[in-house]
Amino acid sequence: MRTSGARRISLQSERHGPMTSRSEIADAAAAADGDTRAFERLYEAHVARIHSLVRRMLDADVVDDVTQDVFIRAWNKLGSFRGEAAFGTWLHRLAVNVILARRKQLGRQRERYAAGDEAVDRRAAGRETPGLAMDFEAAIGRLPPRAKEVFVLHDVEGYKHHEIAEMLEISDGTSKSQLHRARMFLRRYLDG
Amino acid sequence: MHDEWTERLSEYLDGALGWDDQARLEAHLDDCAKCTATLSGLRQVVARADGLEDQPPTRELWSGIVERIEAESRAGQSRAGGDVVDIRGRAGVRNELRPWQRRLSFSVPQLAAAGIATILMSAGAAWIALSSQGDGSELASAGGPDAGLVANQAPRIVAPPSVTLTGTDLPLITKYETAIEDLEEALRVGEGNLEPETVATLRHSLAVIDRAINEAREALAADPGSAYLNTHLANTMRRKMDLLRYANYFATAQS
Repeated sequence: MRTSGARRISLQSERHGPMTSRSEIADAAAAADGDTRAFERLYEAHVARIHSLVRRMLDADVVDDVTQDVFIRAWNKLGSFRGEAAFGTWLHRLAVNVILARRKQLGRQRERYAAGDEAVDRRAAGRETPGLAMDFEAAIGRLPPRAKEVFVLHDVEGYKHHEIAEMLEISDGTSKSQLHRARMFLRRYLDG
Repeated sequence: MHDEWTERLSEYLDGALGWDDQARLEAHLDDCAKCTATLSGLRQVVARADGLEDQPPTRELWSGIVERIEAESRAGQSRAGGDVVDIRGRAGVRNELRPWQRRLSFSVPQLAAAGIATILMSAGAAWIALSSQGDGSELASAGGPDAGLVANQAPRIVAPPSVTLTGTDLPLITKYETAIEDLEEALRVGEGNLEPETVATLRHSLAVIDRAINEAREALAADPGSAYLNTHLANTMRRKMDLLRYANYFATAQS
């Protein structure tokens, strides 16, 4: 049986970046003092990861805007980064908070997908190209919001259920069930 | 029974089942081709998720970030009643903006803070140089915060308190100007008692402060009603007075 614990650990270190290097700590400190060149270096190092996270969790039309929001929020909060965790981890958690806040603002998205299980089944059944596995990223984009959030945070970003439960203000059990729903949904697309 | 295990396949995949449940599910999998196929599909999903690669944005975003930081800074300064000075060409922006096109804003208070830091560093060098003229005991006998503007009075060693002006305060600034003139005249008479190196350091520090005073006067000429600029000018002049008092104290002590 495959246990994903080890995968998650490696995922955490790879995706959240290695332990913050001295140069990154120095750049964070310099940026906190107003050095935009140092902040630009941090941006260059992490923008792909943050942009991908935002893209997977929100609709395409707000991805660039929210990515910018993340870095602006980071700029304003750099003083709270103490170097105790990897800079990438700190930035990633901040990004998740920004994304979830934006998600709340975009409540209409929730309404659109509010039908729950039925919505998952309808979308799975309604794939347009049977026999062809659709682009996996696009399939993630078609998940209902809650299932997408849990799936991205757990299977892509490597968070644990109790962490996800805290971030999304749901129970561990709900996080697990949403993850399973998402995986089942995506499995059908891969099978297609 | 079948649905029960289907719902738990993800937990099994994640190693989250207890030993008993795990053993029972594995026994079920031995007899259930459908659940085995589902499990295989879920494994593929997890593997695909694990293998996703991060992609950078297709559009240049950095310049927008800089502009929004500027805008927030400007809005913040506006709310605080400060002025903003735009500075171009401090750092580079990829693609859309060339290095010399990059706009970066600093508020007048930020620039003034940098100026004050320079003044303090420069004045600090002068104080160290002056302190080396004595045995250090003078530092312990420093006068109180209301020490008068007398040339040979023991200076305060602690950083001078800031004054806060609510608007143009010409009487106070005029009072400082008069005191500075007196202190400068006294120093001209007494600086011969100081080491040449000390005098050189002192003159350099005074020149730095004079530049800051002149810049503050110029800014004030453009915006006479600015409480901030009036305060900044008064505080800078106050620092010059403190340094001059300190220098005169040592010059007198050496005579």
